[in-house]
Amino acid sequence: MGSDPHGRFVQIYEHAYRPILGYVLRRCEDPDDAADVVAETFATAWRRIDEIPSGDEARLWLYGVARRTLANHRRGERRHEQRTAALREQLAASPALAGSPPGEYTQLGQAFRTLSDDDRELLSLVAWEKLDTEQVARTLGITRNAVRVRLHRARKRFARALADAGIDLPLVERTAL
Amino acid sequence: MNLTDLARVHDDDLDGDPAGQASGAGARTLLASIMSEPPGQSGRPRAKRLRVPVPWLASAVGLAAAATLVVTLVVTPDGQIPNPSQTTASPEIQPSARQILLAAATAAMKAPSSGAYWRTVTITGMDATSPDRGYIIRRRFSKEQWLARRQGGQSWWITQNLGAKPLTGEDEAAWRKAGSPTQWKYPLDMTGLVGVNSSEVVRAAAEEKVAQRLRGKWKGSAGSLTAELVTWDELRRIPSDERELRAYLERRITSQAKSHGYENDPKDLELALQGNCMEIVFSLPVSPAVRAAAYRLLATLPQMTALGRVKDPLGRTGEALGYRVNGREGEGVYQIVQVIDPETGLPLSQSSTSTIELADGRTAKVENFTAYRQMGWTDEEPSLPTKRD
Repeated sequence: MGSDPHGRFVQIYEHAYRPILGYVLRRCEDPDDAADVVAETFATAWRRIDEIPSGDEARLWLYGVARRTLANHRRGERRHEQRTAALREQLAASPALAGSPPGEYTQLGQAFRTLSDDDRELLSLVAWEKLDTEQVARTLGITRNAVRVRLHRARKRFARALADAGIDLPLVERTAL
Repeated sequence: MNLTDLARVHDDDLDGDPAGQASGAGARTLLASIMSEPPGQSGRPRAKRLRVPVPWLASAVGLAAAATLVVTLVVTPDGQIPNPSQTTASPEIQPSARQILLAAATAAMKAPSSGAYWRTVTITGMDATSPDRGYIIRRRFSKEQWLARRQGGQSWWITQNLGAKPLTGEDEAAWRKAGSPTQWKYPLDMTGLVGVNSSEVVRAAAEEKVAQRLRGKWKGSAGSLTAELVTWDELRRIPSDERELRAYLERRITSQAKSHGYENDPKDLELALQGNCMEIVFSLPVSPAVRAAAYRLLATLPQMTALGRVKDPLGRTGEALGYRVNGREGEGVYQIVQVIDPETGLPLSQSSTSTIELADGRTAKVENFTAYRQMGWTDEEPSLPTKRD
């Protein structure tokens, strides 16, 4: 596989483009910023093509790259490069992104935002990216056991935040977690 | 509501969204740009990038979801600027850039300023190397933009891929020798090739027209200034006095630079100011007085040079103005050429030209251009094709 990096990268890109775009859009308020982060994520992947694991693990590996890119991006600049102009134009016209993010004003959303970045990311990977324990472990580069423990704690903290906000705990637990 | 519903989009929502398609314009352009670098290169990407916003290039890239384009401004290796292809020195004494811009300002005042839609019809051309680097083909695309002035009115893009054909007589001869292909299939590795995406197939035949409703951020927008969409209300607040316009644009540029973390070099400010004036002159539905003010402001900027009376890419005669854009360090200089109609003060075309070497050693000129066929107010309704995006 290593002999044809171009073909391999196109395959990875086509497979992972939508999940990565979704991942970034869910964590980035501004679609223009999201375009920059998606571009940087895949540019990093191209530079490190030899390190990308095979199969579906490529997607998990890319989540990890996107997570770090996003963290750096929040601190830094906004580039709006020429290469993302077409994507930005499509995102600007996207009906899915027309309104404000859901849950912005709901108690659930507010309770969720009181959690630490780490807790939110863990819960999001499960609820939004639909990853199982094994996949979360691979994405974050930690052991399955560590995932279980941290997830358990994050859920408890979320439950507490919900209880503080007066939300019916069992219902939410049943449907969300 | 549960945690899943807190997600702004779900991957399934992106199924039916043009932005969510790996085969879509945004994704393909990005892929091609990333893969234009050799793999495994760490450090700063070496892609040549423009420092200032060039709005017409951005809109050329986003032409149609079906038309996937890469816009790369290429400079000659020694940093020399290729001359614009159509420039012919006129025998009489050439007016200066300043004179041309001031005349355009006067002419612009005569434009009508009422209508239901601001309509812009453009033809975009992109020259591309054939996959074997034997000759150049020119790809053309048309785009109608209908921006509804009425609140709640529907705005539209109607786009069409007009196909591709060999550019010059020499290119046509080389094309015949290659068996007169009617489609060109490009490899994954685009080293040495320009004007298309990696693994794209370019066809000689034109495609159907496609209509696209403007939604999202484009809904109720009057176009873009400083690379941000502006509302009709914001547009009306742009001052028509030259000095106030300068102050207004400088405020906008500086506050944007701050929020985006750009460095704020006075040279950059000048260039950004120029880019903003170009956006006003070449795209926005501002009043004739504001357009005239933007022309007068441009006339005060030192970088513009008059290149004489030329034919634009659609064969119309106008006055050409050029300005140079300094790339990042080691990237040389780009030249961007605008052609304006001195009679109406309206734009005819904008283009960037560069040279590349073909497989047989021949040096070929490649051009990216946007030519404006119509720009102005209308009470007509768009004639919508049945095919929708």
